[in-house]
Amino acid sequence: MAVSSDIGAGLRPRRYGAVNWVGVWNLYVKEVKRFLKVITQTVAAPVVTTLLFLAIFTLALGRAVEFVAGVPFTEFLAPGLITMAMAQNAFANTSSSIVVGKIQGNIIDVLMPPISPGEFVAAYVLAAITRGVLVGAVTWLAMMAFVDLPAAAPAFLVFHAVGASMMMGLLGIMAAIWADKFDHIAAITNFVITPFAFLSGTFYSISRLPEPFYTIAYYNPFFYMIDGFRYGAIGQSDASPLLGLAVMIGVNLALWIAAYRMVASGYKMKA
Amino acid sequence: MARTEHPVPQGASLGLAPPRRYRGVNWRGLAAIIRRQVVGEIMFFRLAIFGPALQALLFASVIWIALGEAVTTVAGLPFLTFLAPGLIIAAGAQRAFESTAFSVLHEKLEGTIGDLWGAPLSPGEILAGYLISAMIVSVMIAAPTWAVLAPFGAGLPDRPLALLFFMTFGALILSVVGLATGMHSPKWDSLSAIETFAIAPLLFLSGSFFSLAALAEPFRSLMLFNPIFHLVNGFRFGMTGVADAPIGLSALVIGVAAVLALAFGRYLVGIGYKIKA
Repeated sequence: MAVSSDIGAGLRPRRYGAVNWVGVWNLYVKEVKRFLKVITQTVAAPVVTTLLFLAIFTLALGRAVEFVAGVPFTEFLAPGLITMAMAQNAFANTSSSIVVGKIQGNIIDVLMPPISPGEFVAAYVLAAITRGVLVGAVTWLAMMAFVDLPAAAPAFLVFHAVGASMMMGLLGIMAAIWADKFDHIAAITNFVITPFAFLSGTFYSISRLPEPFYTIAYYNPFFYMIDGFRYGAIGQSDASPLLGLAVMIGVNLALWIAAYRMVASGYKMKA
Repeated sequence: MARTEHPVPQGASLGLAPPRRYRGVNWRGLAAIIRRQVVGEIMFFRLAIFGPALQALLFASVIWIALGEAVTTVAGLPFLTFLAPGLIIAAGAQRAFESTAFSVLHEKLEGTIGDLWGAPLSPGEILAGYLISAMIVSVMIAAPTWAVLAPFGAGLPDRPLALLFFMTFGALILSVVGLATGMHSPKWDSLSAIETFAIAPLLFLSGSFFSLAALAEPFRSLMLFNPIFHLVNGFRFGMTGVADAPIGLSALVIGVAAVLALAFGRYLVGIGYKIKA
């Protein structure tokens, strides 16, 4: 009797209010450490690849296309490439982590603890934002050596950096929950994410597009993400900056709800 | 006496076939390596086999849209016609590198590389297996890339023999580089670092996107010492009949580089660098 009541006498269930802050924080830290451990692949490589793109497209187009919408071509291109790098890395961060977890089975370590679906989504998305913004910031600094990047509207710049990474992090969560193996994520990255990132105004003003595509571009959230970040960086945009803000807020809200419901339902993770 | 110690056909009493005899080259073994490498490539990459073609398509599309009405010719060719051979050879050569590098490193980490190194194959046969399969794989990548670029002005080869020469020798050189990288790398991190920080920039900044004339003087002469530039130049000559630098020089450089690569590859496989203890 006495013995059984002595064991673990000092241990009590931890009490917390509406949000398990300790849990969210630890999951976030785990996710950040996951990509920092292979920082060469997760930060340095995308930075170098993005600089390579800047060199390639400046060499290829710089002389034929001197100005886009009144802005020197390289200056127009740089913010688009930075957004592309942030978006792809935010997507890669959540999607690869969750798919690896599912395949290796260690996703259970995240599903079993008292972490609610909302906390799950928040921690993964915050880590994706951290990686996206880190990649974006390092690329920005590196590009400053070659390109004039005035940060014309800093508030828009920060908003769109965070908004773009958040959107792609949420999409990454949903894609990874749906995917059964690496091939699926590779296919989504290759055949959906990369084409969208390339064709949504990174390299040209959408006013160049012929008619059906010009109108379609206005329904493409990737376009607002690139356009808005470019407005923040150089003060030039195709669409109204306020419309860009509204679209990013709306899309992110919708994706939060969708990702939350997907995690809460246990779809392909708890079934 | 000695005969009774080794009753001749060991397996005969067990109903096994006698050891296979071959003279000179183990053709069957060589064919098996090639088949295994090529099938492995298809199984491993699946749809991603079309990744490089898709990337080239995206490059060409955005350049086509961005150029708009601006008419540009490079070295007398419409820009996208000038560009297409560069994209095709870069895609093919990069996958020749990946094909051997990924395969060697993967098997090294899994410990299955002994299956190949322990088989009755000479170093020359192992090397030939890797190189020939890398050539096949690089054509498998280059052909769809060419197909998607055809609407943008990638025509039929103007000099098929030159094209073939630079395609196969380019794949050979890059696959030896891939072999060396795969043998040298202790883990995936180091392999992908070499690919991202050295191979890809070298492939994409060696004249695929611009003509020699666009470079300022010290760089223009320096470029002539870059074998990848000669690879791109020669391949472009094969496709369009237009060369940026003397084609004889490019053929010579690539020929010599291929011979050196063969010798280096034969040496690496012979000593089993980082594979045989």
